Amino acid sequence: MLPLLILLIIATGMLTLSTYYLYRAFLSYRKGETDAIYYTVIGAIGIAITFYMTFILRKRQFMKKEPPALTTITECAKCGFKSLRRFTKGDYVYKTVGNCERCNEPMLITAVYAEPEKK
Amino acid sequence: MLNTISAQASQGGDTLGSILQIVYLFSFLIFMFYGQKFQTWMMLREIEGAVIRLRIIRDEAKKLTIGAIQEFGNKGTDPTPRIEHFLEYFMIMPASLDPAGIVPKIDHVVNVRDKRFKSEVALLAPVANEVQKNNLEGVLEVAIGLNLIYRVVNHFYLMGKKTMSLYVIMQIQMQLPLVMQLAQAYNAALKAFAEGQPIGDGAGALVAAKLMVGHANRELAKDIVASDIDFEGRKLIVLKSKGPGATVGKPGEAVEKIVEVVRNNPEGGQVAMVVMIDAASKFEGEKSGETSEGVGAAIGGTGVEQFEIEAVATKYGIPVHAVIVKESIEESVAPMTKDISDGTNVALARVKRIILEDTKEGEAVIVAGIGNTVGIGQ
Repeated sequence: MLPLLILLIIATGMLTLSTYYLYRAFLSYRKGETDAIYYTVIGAIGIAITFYMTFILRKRQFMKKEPPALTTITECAKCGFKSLRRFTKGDYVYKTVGNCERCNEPMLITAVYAEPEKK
Repeated sequence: MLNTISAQASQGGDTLGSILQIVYLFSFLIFMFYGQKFQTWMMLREIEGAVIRLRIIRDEAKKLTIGAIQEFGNKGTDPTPRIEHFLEYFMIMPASLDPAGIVPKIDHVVNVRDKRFKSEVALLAPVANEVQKNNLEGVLEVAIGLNLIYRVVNHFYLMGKKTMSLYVIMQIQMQLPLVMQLAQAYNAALKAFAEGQPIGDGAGALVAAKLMVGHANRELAKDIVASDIDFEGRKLIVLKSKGPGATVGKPGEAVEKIVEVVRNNPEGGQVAMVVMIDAASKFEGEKSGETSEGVGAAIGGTGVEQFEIEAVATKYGIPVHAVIVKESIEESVAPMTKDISDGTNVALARVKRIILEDTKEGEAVIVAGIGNTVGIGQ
């Protein structure tokens, strides 16, 4: 925790300093002084370093992936009737399940696959 | 008002500005001398997050494994202590100082391991049937894998924390995204094995199953079934591991047996070709489910089965063709995706084309569908 606190203090300090330098740059510009460029560069570098430090301070999140939803496809070998449904435990490819709605012949599971992830 | 503020700022500003400039310079010096320490500390923080996440995944896997086994276990017995011990099961490969004769040694060690797994599952889940026992073995394998991943990453984390060496920490930090991807894939595989869902690695077995459906099959070798199919005048002997349980079987032994049986047939003849179908790693940028053709024994594992197939093919001069279905390492252990499932149809068409183009009517061809056959019957 201590290194994190030190880094946060340094980041806050740098942000304050950078803001002050940008303000000095504004004032110098209003007066028409050449120091304005010098103060602007220092202020901009300071803000960039501050953002970089806060960016790398965040922990990389390894998000929990939800298990994919599986689909079972059943087909009738005789009439070609196909139906899709959610996978249930016990399903396996080429298992005979129930009868065809159209011709009452046994239906076969022909495919079980995970739905593509929604991006 | 702005003019008043700017006048006041300019007067006291010079001294304050000098002080602030010194502070600014000082902070740069700190980063110059202690920058590496900060970098080391930040990498450690990242690894710590991964270790915590891996511990959660490992504990959830343990819980799921215990739940899956308890479903088929003795009601009064708590299998938790036994499962926790078994999660650290290891296999020591034979010494390779003198590699001659190492293949039978590896085969022996693997057989002993398989037997141990089977006896352990039989003890923990006595009421499970053969398919359920095979699936529980798969669940145990995945849980062992996840436990190992957690222990290795935790080892490097603690070693890095102890030594504060950037090079020790970088070794694991650079591979962390790949390790976490693998751990999440294993996590998905755990549920797949527990519920009997087909995984990506089963692509080869699925292609063989598509040929075998509707035909009688016989058990040929350990956990391997085969069907005799007539295809355009060719005699196909299609083999795959016996599903729908999670098993890979011994296809090497099966191919050897078939070749010898065909040769010893009173009618004469020999196997004209062996076609092997398996899942293989794709390169980044390639689409999953795409197929490729090649030559050689397309089979993974320890190398024993590959050795056996190559030995018999070389002995009798039998060409061995390979058709692979491309997928990522994560997809091979996760539930089978639609792309891979559709890719098996393309692979089947390729197998048929190879057989038609390179063999004549009346010849015998072995078609071996390689892979874990969880969720795939025949």
